[in-house]
Amino acid sequence: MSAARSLASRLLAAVASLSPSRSRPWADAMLRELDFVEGDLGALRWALGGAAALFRHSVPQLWQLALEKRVPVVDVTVRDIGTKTTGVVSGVVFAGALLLACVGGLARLAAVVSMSWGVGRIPLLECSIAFALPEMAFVAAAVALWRKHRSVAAGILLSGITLVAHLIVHFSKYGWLN
Amino acid sequence: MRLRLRLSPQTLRVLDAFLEDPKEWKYGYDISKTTGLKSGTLYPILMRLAERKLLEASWETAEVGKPPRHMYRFTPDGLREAREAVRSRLKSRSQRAAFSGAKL
Repeated sequence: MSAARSLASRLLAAVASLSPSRSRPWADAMLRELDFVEGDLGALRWALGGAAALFRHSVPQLWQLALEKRVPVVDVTVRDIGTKTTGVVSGVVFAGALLLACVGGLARLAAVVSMSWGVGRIPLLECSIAFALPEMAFVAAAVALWRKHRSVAAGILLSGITLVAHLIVHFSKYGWLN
Repeated sequence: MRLRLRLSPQTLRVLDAFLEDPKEWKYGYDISKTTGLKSGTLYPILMRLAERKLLEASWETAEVGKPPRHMYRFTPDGLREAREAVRSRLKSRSQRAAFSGAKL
């Protein structure tokens, strides 16, 4: 078998193997006819024409298959988005609760304790307890949760970033500890 | 009767080839040689005809050691439609000829 004929045969065989089920018999038919085509150049032309015809015949089927497969994909995507949103919201709620506990509980407690000891209020300590402590907790929680509960970790990180941004804006507007 | 086919000149050539001997099975390459159509033109026509059930396809029972070939022939519906198509083409040709004759 000449190189051209061999190439033609390989081309049609490759197209036949890639064709969707409805086009397969046609691909096989063209491949069988190749043995009867006169001349090597003729065989190559036959294969090229056949491949083009099979491509045109296969495209609508492939579209149809893709559209049929898309329905469950969309379904899964919607479910996935729902799960991720719940995770992020949980993270934000957790971060908010922790921040509230630190600002409303621990920072006030520190103020009360320092007052009772007679050293007066220590703004740096209160500020650290109110903001630096939760920030560290956010980072630690995000790292711990990143592998198994990435969306929750993302929610916590998002809250941490928002808090930092808020503090930057606040301090740049009102000055440090004023 | 309304034809289910888009009757391009190439389709008409294929129909003509089948109408020469409507009962006989024909091979793709033989039709290509008869009509002068290349595989890229011929097979889409054959596919369309087969999908509209105007053509039936079958694998030849092969001799031992020889791969089977795909063969085609008209279904009863296909034969009817092909005859109708050829008739309407002849009619329109004669009308055109008459019109151009009247013009001259």
